[in-house]
Amino acid sequence: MPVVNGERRSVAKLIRFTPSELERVLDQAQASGRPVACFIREASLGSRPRMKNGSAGDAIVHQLARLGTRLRVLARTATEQGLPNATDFDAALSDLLETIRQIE
Amino acid sequence: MIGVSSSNKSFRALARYLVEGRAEEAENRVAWIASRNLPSDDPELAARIMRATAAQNVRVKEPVYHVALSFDPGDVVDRAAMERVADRVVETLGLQEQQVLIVAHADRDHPHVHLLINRVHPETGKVWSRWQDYPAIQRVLREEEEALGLRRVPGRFTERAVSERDVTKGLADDLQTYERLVEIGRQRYNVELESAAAQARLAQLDAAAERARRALDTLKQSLRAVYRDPDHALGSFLAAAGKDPAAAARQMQETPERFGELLTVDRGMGRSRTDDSAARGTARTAAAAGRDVIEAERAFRVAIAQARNGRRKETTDGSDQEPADAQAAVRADLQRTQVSLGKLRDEEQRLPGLHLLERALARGLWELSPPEFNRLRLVVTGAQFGLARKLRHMAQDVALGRDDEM
Repeated sequence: MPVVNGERRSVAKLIRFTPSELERVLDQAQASGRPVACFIREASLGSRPRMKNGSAGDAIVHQLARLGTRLRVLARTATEQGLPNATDFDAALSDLLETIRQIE
Repeated sequence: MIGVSSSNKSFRALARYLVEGRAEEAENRVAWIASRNLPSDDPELAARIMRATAAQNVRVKEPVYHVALSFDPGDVVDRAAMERVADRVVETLGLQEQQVLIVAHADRDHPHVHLLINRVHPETGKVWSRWQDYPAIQRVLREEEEALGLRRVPGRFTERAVSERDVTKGLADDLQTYERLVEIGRQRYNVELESAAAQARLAQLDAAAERARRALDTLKQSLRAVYRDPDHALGSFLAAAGKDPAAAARQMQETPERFGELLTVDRGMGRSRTDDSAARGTARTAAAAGRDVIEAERAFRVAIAQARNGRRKETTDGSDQEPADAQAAVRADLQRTQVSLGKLRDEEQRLPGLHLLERALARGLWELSPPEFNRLRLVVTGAQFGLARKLRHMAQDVALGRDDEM
């Protein structure tokens, strides 16, 4: 448990949000690259948590990579089974990887 | 097989290192690359994707998990076998859903693969914990050694019959032997130096003695053509040369009769006359030979003095041999060094080879857990423990395939 100005963060407080409010808070916390509690504490005490560098790009790359991983499995299966459209999977995967490469 | 693991911060840096290494290592470094749960085998792209996935967890500080698996240089393993072992390790650690880049290297005698693993799960975003990963990896490696018929690496996770004390005792004994081998090597070097010096001294003495002997023979031959009693003349000349060498040589040339009665020739011209001009002429040659003798004797004495000085540096007996004993003393030195050398070589041959022992020790020390390694300190000397630490570090470098490069 971290010590701040000689004090430990030993007290908890339950806060209620509407579902949409919580979703916005979670999104903003993730965008800032901070844990949710940390984000709420910092924001409520007056500081403005900065956006984490490249976090938007990372999220996109992450999602594209998930798709790409599944697409690669499909492409491999199609090639192994000699499906007629196997090359289409490969082409799609190549396009997707090229897209990822272009994201900073 | 040996397996080691570590955590890092940067996927990109490690991926680049695995592919390129240092500048001079890039050529033929990578044998093959494979991946798991990634859309591409391209290390740069894989590192980018892994970084993006790891960024989904805002708490993780070191998302990179690096495992290096090294086979014995004698193991014949193909790509399929290496991938099998890598997959078994990943599966046993519970990382089968994690993103993994497998890079096999061909830049060392021993085949080895590196696993670049993302500790952050690609779907749940949870961070995998390394807790107790080492025993798990070791167990898999021992099982795979058995299954694939690879060289078995003795270790605490399989050789449970051998108590920890026995392992430590064995390592302590090996360390002692290793230390003795290093000491023998040092002593052998010194004795070889001493032997070479004694040989040089002996050669110098022999050459000086030979030169003196030849000069004396020439002088005797010359004196036979000058004096009626050449032996007496030689004795007188040497006695005079002992006091003043230059004057003795000059007298031999100018007034040879000082050293004995000269040979004469009868000249019958009505009355009896003797002629010693031939002897006086030859006396000039004898004077030159006499100078040679004096010079050769002086050189011989210098050689003896140098031999004495050399021996004083190497021996502590403080004896001061007579000139006549000098050659015998140096020969005795030479014989003594040869005997010492023979003894050291015999002892060295009875012990295991230095490099073989070094390698076995390094591997054995690497297998010890940190507490076991620290307990070794209790049964070895400080110097031996320092040696053990160095060898353990060396084994770590070899296992990581970096040989002091990272």
